[in-house]
Order: sequence, then C-alpha cells, then structure tokens
Amino acid sequence: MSNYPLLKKIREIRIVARRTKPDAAWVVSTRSTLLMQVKNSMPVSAAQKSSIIKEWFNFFGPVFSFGKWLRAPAFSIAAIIVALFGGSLFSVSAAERSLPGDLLYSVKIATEQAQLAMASSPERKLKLKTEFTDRRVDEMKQVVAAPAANRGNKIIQTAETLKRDMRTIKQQLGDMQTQSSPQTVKESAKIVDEKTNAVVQALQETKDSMTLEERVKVTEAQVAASDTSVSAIEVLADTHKTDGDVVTAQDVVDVVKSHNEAVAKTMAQAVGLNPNSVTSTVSMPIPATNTTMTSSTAAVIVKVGEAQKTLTEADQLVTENKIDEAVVKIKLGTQQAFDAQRTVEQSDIAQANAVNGADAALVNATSTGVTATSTSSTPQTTCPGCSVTSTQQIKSTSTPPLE
Amino acid sequence: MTQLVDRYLLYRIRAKRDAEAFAKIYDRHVDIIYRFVVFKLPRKEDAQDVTAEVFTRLWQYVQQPKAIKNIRALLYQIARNLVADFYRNKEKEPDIQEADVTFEDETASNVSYTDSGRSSEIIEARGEMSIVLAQMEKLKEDYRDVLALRLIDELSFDEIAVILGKQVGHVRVIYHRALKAIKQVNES
Repeated sequence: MSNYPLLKKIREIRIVARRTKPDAAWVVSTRSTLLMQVKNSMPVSAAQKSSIIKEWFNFFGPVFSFGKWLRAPAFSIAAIIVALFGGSLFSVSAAERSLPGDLLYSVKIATEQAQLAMASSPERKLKLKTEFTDRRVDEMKQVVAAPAANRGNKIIQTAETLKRDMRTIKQQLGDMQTQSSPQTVKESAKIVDEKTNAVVQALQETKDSMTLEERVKVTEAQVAASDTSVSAIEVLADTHKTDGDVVTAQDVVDVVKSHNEAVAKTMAQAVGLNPNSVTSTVSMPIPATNTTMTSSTAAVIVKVGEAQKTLTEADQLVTENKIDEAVVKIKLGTQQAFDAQRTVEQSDIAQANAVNGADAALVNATSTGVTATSTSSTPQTTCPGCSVTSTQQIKSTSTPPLE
Repeated sequence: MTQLVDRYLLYRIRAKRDAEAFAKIYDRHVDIIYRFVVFKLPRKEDAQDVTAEVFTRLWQYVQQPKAIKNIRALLYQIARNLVADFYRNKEKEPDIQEADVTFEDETASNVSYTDSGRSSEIIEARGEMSIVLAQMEKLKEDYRDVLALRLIDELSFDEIAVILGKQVGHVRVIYHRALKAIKQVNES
C-alpha cells in the first residue's frame, strides 16, 4: 500500500493524528459544561419499568443476538460438523434398531459395509463380519417374534442375507489362510467355527413358529453356516499340518467335536428327537410296530442314523490324528444331517399339500424295523420336530444302537 | 468490548438517570472525535466547538427513545454532519476569512495563532491533508469518505457502514474500488 504516494501521505497523517490530542483544559471545561447540561436536562422521574427492561435488553440483547450468532462463521462450521458427523450418528443409531424391510435397514447395511471397508486388517474384517451375522440372527428372532404383515418376506430376506454373509466369511477365511500369520488364522478360524455353530443353533430355535416355506429358506442359511464351519475346520486342519506348533492336534479335535455336537443337536431338534440321545448314547429310538408313521419319516430316521454314524466316525478319526479323513467325514456327516432335515421339511410340505387337497393317500412303507402309515387326518403346518412328536408319535420300544 | 462498555453506560443513563455515565462516554470518545474534526476544520477553535457540539447532539439523541447500536459510530456520524454543516454555513457567510474555508489557502499566521503546542506538526499534517484531499477531490465523494474513515480514523467497516448509512458489504466494495482509483490517480 505504501507504494502509492497518496496512501503513504495518508499514513503519515494518521501518525500525526494519533498523536493529536485536544487541550486538557478545554477537555475538562467542556466536560463540566456538558455534565451540567446533562444534569439540567435529565428527567427527574425514575425510568419506567418497561423502559428499564427495554434498556436492559438493549444492553444484553446483542450479546445473545441469536440471528447474528446464527450467521457467525464459527456457528456455521459447527453446524456443518454436526450435520456431517452428529447427524449420521443419530440416524445410524436409529438405523441400528431397524429390521429387514424397514426404511432405515439399508442405512444399517450400508453402515456395516462402511465399517468393513474401513477395517484395517483381514482378521478385523472377518471378526466384524461374524459380529454382523450375529445381528442378522437377532433380526431373524425379532422378525419371527413380531406379527408383521409381510413377515414371510422378511424372514426369507434375512435368511438370504445370512446365506450370503456366510459365503463371504468362508471366502474371507480362505483369503486369510494365504495372507495372515498362522496364529491369526487359528484365532479367526476358531471364532468363525464358534459363531457359525451358534448361528445354526440360533436359527434352529427360530424355526418353531415358521411356515414350511420359511423353514426351508432358513435351513438353506443353516446349511451355508454349517458349510462355513466346516471350512473353518479345514483351515485349522491345514494350518495344523503346516504349523503344528501353532495349531495343535488338540485344537483340531476340539473344533471337530464341538462342530459335530452342534450338528447332531440341530439335527435332533429338527427331526424331533431328544438331542442328548443322539450325541451321547448314539442311539436311535425305534418306533413300535403299532405306531403309525409315514415313509418319509422312516427315511428321515435312516438318514439321521447315517449322519450320526458318519459324525461319530469323524470324531473317532480325529482322535486318531487322521485329520484329512476326519474332515472328509465331517463334510459328509454335516451334509447327511441337513439332508435329513430337508427330508423332514419336504415330507411336511408334501403332507400339508396332501391335506389341503383333502385327498390323503394312504401310503404304507416299511423299512428297517419301522412301520409307517399315512396320518393325514391332522394338518401339518408346524415345525418338523413338533410334527414328528405330536402326530406321528415315534415311540421307541427298544433302543438298539445305530452304529 | 468497547461497544459493551458503551452499551452499559447508555443503559446507566437511560435506566438509572446517571449523568456521570454520559460524562464517561465523553471521556472515552472526546479524543477521537476531536482528532476526526481537527484536520477537517481550519482552526483549532472550530474543532473544539464542533467536538463539544457533537456531544451535545449525542445527549439530545440519547434522550430520545431510539435504539443506539454503536455510540462511536453515531458520534462520527454526528461529527461528519457537523463538519458538513460548518462549511455549508461558511459558504452562506462570505465575509468570514476565506482562508478558514479551505485547506489550500490556509496561512501560517492563521494556524500559528490558533494551534498551540503541537502546532508545527499539525500545520504540516494539515498541509499534507490538503494535498491528499486535493488528490482525493478527483475521487468520488464516497471513496473519499471511506478511505479517510478507514485509513486515518482506523474505523471498522461496520462502523463506517453506520456512519455513511450503507451496508457493510457495500462499504468494503467502495473501499477496494477507492484503492484502485488511487492507484489510477497516481499513475496518471
């Protein structure tokens, strides 16, 4: 600015102006004159209350002036920050409670995806994903419990999501195996195994109050979860082979046993047997000859028997440190167990259809020590477990071992 | 903060009938108002008269039930109007020394007679001011006012806006245009 002579001069004037002061005597005399003037013209009466309030407001008003404050840059910046971060916090917390089909459910899913995207390591990602599957299971429970209009769709949607999530977990675990340290792989595989087993179990519990179609979908999700659990066991077994000091044989034995137990328990619940009898005594209740039973029920019992046998073999093999063979057996056993479940469901659907058609076909079927006849007089719309126990009444007369 | 003190004093005057509070306002602003007018008026006495008149006018204003947002800006506004009045009245009374009316024709004897103490410095400053104003004459009136209030009296744009009765944004625009105009004046 000082480049311009005129501005330079102005600046010089300013410096002089700053030093310029009126005569002290004049200031004092003017002050007293002014004060006298003011005193003479000052209203004698006290100010009215209303005017005092007005003056008070004039004094403090601008301090609290909301309009001005609102326009202030600091406030606008704060508002932007709140909108960006606070706003998302509020809406996300609302979304957290949303269920499939809700308006905010997509926000919840998007938040989860964002969390996954921001996860620093593959193991963290995997852990988050397993946590999210827990949420899906919770959602399933809530959806089942709530008498919503389109409950069926919601259940199917949640089951589909779970299925997809399970596949992702399986894939992530596979990726981790090649990228991460054996220790991390071991921990992650254990978590995955634990969680997937829990998912299978939890889903089984929700099935009780579902329709047949819904149950089929949920079983699919269960199969996916179980499949992922098997993958986790495979990963552990592989790691045991390469890094035996990190993943001990005992670790593999433990996961195999827990997996088998979970599968057997779920299967027993699904076909309406006492879970304990399946896993501990490995015995199969055989119905009495005077008990009526469908051919499919008999088939289920056969399948359950097979599955139990395979799983027990797997247990045996893993204890003998024949891990590869054990894994093969686990796969097979798991498959068989779910096959049994599917058979129950399919037969239930067939029965329900038959009942609906009011043309119950009498089917006599005989298989290993089981006599079954059609019991179409009662509509079958509840769970397979219930249907077997309530209407078909598998009553054991003897308990020969299945193996 | 300055404004807060002023507002408090105003509250004391209006709500508590405190005459001393007005004296305090006078104490706080008498110097700057005197400074503002002293370079614009030919004689020290004129500056003193105008300054005293500014505060009398302020007192009259305070007595009216009007809201006052910024006392300092109001004082400058009154001072500016009084300076304008001063020259308007001078024009109507041609028998008074012409030297008093303009800066350019101001004589040393006149100044030495009226300004004591820092007289030489003030004479010089007035001389400079007359040159500056002569150059500024080429500028628009708005430009002159804003430049003087901003550069010499160091007022904020908010206060200048109050004094000139314009929007703050407009005052900023005028200021920047005035700086450009000065550059052109210098170049030419």
